Amino acid sequence: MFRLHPWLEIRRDGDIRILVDNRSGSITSCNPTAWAVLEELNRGATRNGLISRVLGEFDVSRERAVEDVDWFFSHLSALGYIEESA
Amino acid sequence: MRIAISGFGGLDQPDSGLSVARALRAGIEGDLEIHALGYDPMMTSAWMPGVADYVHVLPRVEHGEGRILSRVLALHSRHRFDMLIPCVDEDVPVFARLAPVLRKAGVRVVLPEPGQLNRLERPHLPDFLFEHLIMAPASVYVPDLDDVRREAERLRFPLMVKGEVSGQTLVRNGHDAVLAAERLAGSAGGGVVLQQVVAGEEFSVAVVVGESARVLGEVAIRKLAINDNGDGECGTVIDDPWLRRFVRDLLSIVTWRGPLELEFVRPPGTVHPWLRDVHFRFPSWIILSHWAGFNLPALMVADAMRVPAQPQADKPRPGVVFMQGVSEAAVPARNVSALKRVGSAEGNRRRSSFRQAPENPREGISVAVTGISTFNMINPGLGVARALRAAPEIRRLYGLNYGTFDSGSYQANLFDQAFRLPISEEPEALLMKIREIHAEHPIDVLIPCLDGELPRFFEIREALEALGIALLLPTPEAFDARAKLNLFTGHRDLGADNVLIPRTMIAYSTNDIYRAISQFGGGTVAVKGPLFGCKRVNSLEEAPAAWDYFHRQNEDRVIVQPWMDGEMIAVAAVCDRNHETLSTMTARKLANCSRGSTWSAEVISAPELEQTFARFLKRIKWTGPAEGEFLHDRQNDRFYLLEINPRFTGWIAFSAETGVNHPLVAVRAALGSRPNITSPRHDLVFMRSGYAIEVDPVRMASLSVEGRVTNNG
Repeated sequence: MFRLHPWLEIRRDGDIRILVDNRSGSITSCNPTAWAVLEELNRGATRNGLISRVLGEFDVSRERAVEDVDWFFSHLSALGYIEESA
Repeated sequence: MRIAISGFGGLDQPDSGLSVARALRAGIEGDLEIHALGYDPMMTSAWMPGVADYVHVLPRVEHGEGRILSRVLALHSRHRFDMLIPCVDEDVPVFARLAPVLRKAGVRVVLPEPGQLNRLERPHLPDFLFEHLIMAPASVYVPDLDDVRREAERLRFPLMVKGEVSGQTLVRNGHDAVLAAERLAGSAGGGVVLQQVVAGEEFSVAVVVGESARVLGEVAIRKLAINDNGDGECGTVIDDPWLRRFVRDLLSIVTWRGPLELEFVRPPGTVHPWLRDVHFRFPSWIILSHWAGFNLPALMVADAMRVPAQPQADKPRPGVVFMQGVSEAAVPARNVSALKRVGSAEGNRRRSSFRQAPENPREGISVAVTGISTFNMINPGLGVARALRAAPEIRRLYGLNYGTFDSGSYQANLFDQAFRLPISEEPEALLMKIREIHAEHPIDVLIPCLDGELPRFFEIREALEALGIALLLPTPEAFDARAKLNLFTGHRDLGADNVLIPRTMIAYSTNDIYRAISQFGGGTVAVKGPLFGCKRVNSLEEAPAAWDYFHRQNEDRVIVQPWMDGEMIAVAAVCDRNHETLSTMTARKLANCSRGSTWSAEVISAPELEQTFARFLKRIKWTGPAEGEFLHDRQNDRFYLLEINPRFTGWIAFSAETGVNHPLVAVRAALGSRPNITSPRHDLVFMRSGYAIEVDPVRMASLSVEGRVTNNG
C-alpha cells in the first residue's frame, strides 16, 4: 500500500486541482488523470488500485493506463512524495 | 487594552506596524485601543481606516533617546499604555535600552537585553555566524566607507550593501557600491555590511519568545515571488522541520525575548537554507500568522498581559498564502494637520475602501480595467477600480492582468472577475483574448491603464468598438506628441508665462551628458530615460554611471535637464473625443516612494495651471485620461512640466473620495454622455499603504492555469 506523505495536501475547486507541498511551499496544478491518482494515493492505494481508478475514469487502454500510472508514480517517488505502508 | 505600536511608514518597503496592528485587531477579543507611533506625520499605513485609534509623532532617534523616553512617558501618562511593540529596525535597540524605565512606569515591552541584540546586529552577525558554524552568504562589515570599493571588488558583484541597522541596495559595480554605502550610512557616520548575493529559494521565519523565555511559536514561509527590489511579494506558510529545529537551536545560544525575523536563502544544490539576515521585530507579512491560525502578535500580547490565549491550531496551518497589495484612504485633513501641529491626532475613522465585496446592481455598466498589479509598481488600474466601485451605476468590474502575481486579481472588493491578457507584442493576440472574454462577460467600457500597452490598443481600437466595447483613447499622434522626447523638444510654449518646459538636451553618449552639464552652467542635472527613471547627477564624475544605468535598459538616448528643487504638483484630467477637458483635479504630492509613485497627496486649487494644461491637451488633440506632472518653484511661482502620463494616475481613487470621480467621468464620456462636474473637496488627504491580502492557492492556480479567477458571482 502506498500513500502520499502527510505534508502533502490535495485541494480542488471546480476544475482547478492542486497539490500543495507544505514543507517546501510548492503548489502544483494537476490534470484530471494526475488528480485521480493523487486522490487514490491520499487515501492509500496499491499499484493495481491506481490502474483500476484510471481505467474506470478515463477512456484509455490498459497498456496506456499502466504506462501513465507507472510514469507518474515514479515521478512522485523521485520527488519523495510517497511512503509505503502496511 | 491599550497598545502602542511603532512602524507605520516605509512606503513601498512597508514597516510591519500595520501588519501587527491588523493581527491584534483580528486576534484579540474585547476592547483594544491601538496607538500608532512614528517619526513622521506621513506614516501612511497608520492612516488606513480602522487601524489606529490615535496617531502620535515621536522625536527622531537621532535627537536622542532621552527625548523619545520623555515623549512616550508623556503619552503614557495621558493614555495609560499597557504595552509597547516597536516594529522598526531602528527603534528596537532604542526601546531595548529604554525598556527598564518603561516597565517601571507600567508599560510592558518584550525585548531582549541590549547585549543580546548587539550579538545579532548586522555588523556583528558575520562573526556570530562563523563562530557558531551557521551557513550564510559571505559577508563583511566595512566600518570605514573609504574601504567599500576595495572590499566590494574582493567579494565580487552583484552584492548587497546593507546599512548597519536597516536598508539594503543591490549593486553591480564599485561606483554604485560606494554611492549606496554613503546613502545607507547616512549622516550618522557608521559603516555598512557587504554581502554576496546568493540566488535560490527564499524563506523567512517569524518567531516570538515570551518574557519568561518560553518560545511562544514560530511561523515559516517560503517566498513564492520576489520583486526587483528583492522584496517578497507573495509567500506561503510551510512546515519545514529543519527550519523549526534551526530556530530552536539558535534560541538556545541567545537569550532572546520578543519577536525575531530570520531570513534564509537556499542556493540550488544545497540541502539546508543559509541564514541571510536577522530582524528584531515582526515581519511585514505577520498578519499571515493570523490567517494560518497561529497569531504570533496576539500570542505575545496575551503572554505579556498574563491573559490566557490559545492559538486556533497546535501549529501554523501550512499552505496559507499572502500577497502584497495596497490599500488607499482619504484622511480628514484636520487629523493630519493636528498631528503636524501638536504631535497627536485621532486615527482615521472614515469607512474603509477595503470593504467587503459590494452588492452588484442588476442593471448598469460593465467595465474592464487593465494595470492591476502592485508587483514592482503600483498600477493605476487599482485606483480606477476603487473609484468605480463607489459609483452605483457600475454593475461589474473586470480586472485584466498580465500575470499570476498581479495582486488586484484577487481583491473581491475591486474586481468581480479577473482575466489574464497575453504578454505579446501582437495586437491580434490581445484582440482575440478580449473578444473571448467579451463573448462570455460583455464589456461596455474598457480602460487601459498602462503606458506600454496603449499602442497595441490603438491597433485594435476599431475592432473593439465594432464589438460594442467603448474606449476613450487618444490617437497615436497625440500619444507621441506628449512622449518625453517630443514634449521637451517639440513644444516650447505652453501659453502661460509661469508654466514652462524645462531647458532640455538629448544625450546619445556620456560625452553628450558632459556637454549638457557644461551648457547648463556646470551644476547638478537630471538625467531621464525616454520612458522611465530619473538619475540625479551632481558632477561630471557621476555622468558615466547615469549613462550606464539607462544604457543597460537598452536606451540609446537620455534626456538631460537642469536639476530643480520644488514641490511636485500633478494635474489629472479627462478629455472627451472633442479634446475638451471634462474634469481636472490638482494635487500636491506629500510622499513619494523610491520608484516615484505617489503615496500621499492633497488637493489644491490651481485653476490657471489646470486651464493651461487643458489648453495644451486640446492643442495636441488629446482624448481620454491624462496626468501632467509639474515641479513648482514656489519662490518664483513657476511650474515646470516634467511629463504627461497618457492614462489615469495611480492616485485617481482619491478623485472619487473628493467628489469628482474621474474614472466615472471617463466611463460616461466613453459612452457618449457628458457628466455634471462639481468642485472637489479640499479637506481630505490621500494616503496609500502596502497591505497584505490573503489569497486562496486554488484561485492562484486558476489564474495561472485557466487564465481567470472569479471573486464575486
